[in-house]
Amino acid sequence: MGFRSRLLVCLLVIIPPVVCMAGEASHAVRDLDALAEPRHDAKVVWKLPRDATFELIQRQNAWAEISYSSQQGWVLFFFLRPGEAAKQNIGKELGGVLGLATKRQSGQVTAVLGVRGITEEQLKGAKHNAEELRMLEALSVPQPVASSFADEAGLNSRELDLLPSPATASPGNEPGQSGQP
Amino acid sequence: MKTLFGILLFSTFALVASAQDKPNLFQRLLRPAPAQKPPQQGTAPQAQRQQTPKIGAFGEVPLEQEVAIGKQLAGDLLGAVPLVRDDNLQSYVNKIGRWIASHSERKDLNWYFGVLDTPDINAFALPGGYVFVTRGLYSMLSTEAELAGVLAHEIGHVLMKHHIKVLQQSMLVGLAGGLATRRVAKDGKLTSAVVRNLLGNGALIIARGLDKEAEFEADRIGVVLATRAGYYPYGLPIVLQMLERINPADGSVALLFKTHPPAHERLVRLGDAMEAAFDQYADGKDLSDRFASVQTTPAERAQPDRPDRQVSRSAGSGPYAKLEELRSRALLLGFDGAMALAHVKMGRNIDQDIVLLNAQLQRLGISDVSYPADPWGAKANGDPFFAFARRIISSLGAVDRRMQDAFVVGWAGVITSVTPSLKPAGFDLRKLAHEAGLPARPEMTDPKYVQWLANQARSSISTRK
Repeated sequence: MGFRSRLLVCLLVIIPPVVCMAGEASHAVRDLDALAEPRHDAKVVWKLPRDATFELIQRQNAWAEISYSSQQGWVLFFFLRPGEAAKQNIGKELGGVLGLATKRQSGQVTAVLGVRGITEEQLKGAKHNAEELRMLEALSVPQPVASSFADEAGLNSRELDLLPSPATASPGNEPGQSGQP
Repeated sequence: MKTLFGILLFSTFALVASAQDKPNLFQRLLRPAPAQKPPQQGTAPQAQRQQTPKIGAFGEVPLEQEVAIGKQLAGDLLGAVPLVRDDNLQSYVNKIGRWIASHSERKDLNWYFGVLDTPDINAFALPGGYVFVTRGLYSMLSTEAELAGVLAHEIGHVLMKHHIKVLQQSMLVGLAGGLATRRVAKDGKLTSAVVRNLLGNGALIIARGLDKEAEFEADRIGVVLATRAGYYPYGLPIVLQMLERINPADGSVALLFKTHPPAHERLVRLGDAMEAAFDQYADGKDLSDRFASVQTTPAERAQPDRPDRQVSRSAGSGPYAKLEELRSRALLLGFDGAMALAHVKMGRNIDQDIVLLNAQLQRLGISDVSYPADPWGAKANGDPFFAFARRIISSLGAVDRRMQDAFVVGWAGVITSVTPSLKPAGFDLRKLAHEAGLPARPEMTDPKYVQWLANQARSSISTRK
């Protein structure tokens, strides 16, 4: 890997923490309702078509404020992707060079370069490390210690049910409604 | 040897038979599991297809065996990647992990959490309560809520026994289970050597990964557990957004991307499940301050009570370091300003002081403060030196208001040191600030803040001396 590619990789690694950067060009993976406010019961002010490019303004909880065709509104952020739909995947262009399977439709991006990450060979060749395991187990924290650490930070337990799979979800089954974990 | 081969063959046959049409046959070969309440939700599509609503379609794996398998695999993984040698960091992650796990349906497990020393961006769960996050992933995060989301996702895998399911599907556990159970019956306990012999090198299970549905399920569990534990619910989705922005060609995510569905697909699935329903928990904590405190240098950790910590840290480590520098410069400026004032009072020429002060101002990026050319001629308009000082103070305010305080304290520090009757503990910042023409702010009366500034002033004075 050449110096330039390494530099590119470094830059890309540094950039990720900036999530939903204001002014970032993005698109939606499905048609979305744009609401007047970041609340699910707010008024729908316009519709954002799938793959249309818009600009991100900010994110607030489940919502992202966007600017599209000189209109502003709030859409659910889960369904937004960075970049323009047509130029979606940087891996797409790299795909030819690096042999990556990056078909967007299938959604299966397989990168097998193993430049510096954990490799299969590393795992395969691993020798059981009992000493390291003892160290890990010695680091374990009893529940009361964890509780008081949570108390110090004002973390309060809440009761809510696990989420059903969307495919099997019954309508109106919202978390927190039944109360019992 | 023949017997061993016979058992292997029989176990394999039994497993295959059970998967197809006789679910109870294999179950009889395995010891019944100790009663363990399965999570309320959790009919993975795969299980549905097999018309078996519970995990462990081929029979529950006893808890003791599950933990033994997890322990073996954890040791194998640690053989490939060691732990980060930072007890403070490891303890922090363990406390958070344990707190989240105590909100799960398997709170009674012995949970172990570890940060692995690799730039690889990933997190792993192993049966029985072993959870790992890599240094690469950890360093990407900026809040405790994000870390909580990641740990909670992994806890979700343990909760649903996803890896046990994979092992069962690959028949490994069938073999291990059959044999191990016999060994348990014979010896009364399960040795790690037994598990080891039967699993081979288990670290490979990590390279193999889980099926997509298991990952989607762990995501859904992850947001719920983190929310139950009192965290801001969107930590995990935010991490997924970060992952989405990493170039898939980067080797640090190769294993993660190989073993997980693409981040955008996970976000969409999570979005379908969460929608906006979690906004009701948006007052959950993100604890970015506490998260950052663990990443600070040992020198910074030595001053846990520093009252300005919260404000400065929110600016991030870069701006924070910059602010530190600016503030110490402001203190020095105050010190030198006070010295110049003392020289004025003593009737000395202060040209050199002014040159020094202006050079310091320039380093702070302030260039528009000019001292009256003829300080003595301007006496009619009040003390020209104080006017100069006020201009400095006002310019410092444009950079950071706390620098104004530092200047005033630096100033007062000198006056204190040349006037023994004034004790540093007697700093009345609000009064001093008022004399310097600064508007009052609430923290000016916070004794911790004033004390810290006073200490800084004292140490800067002793350094200068």
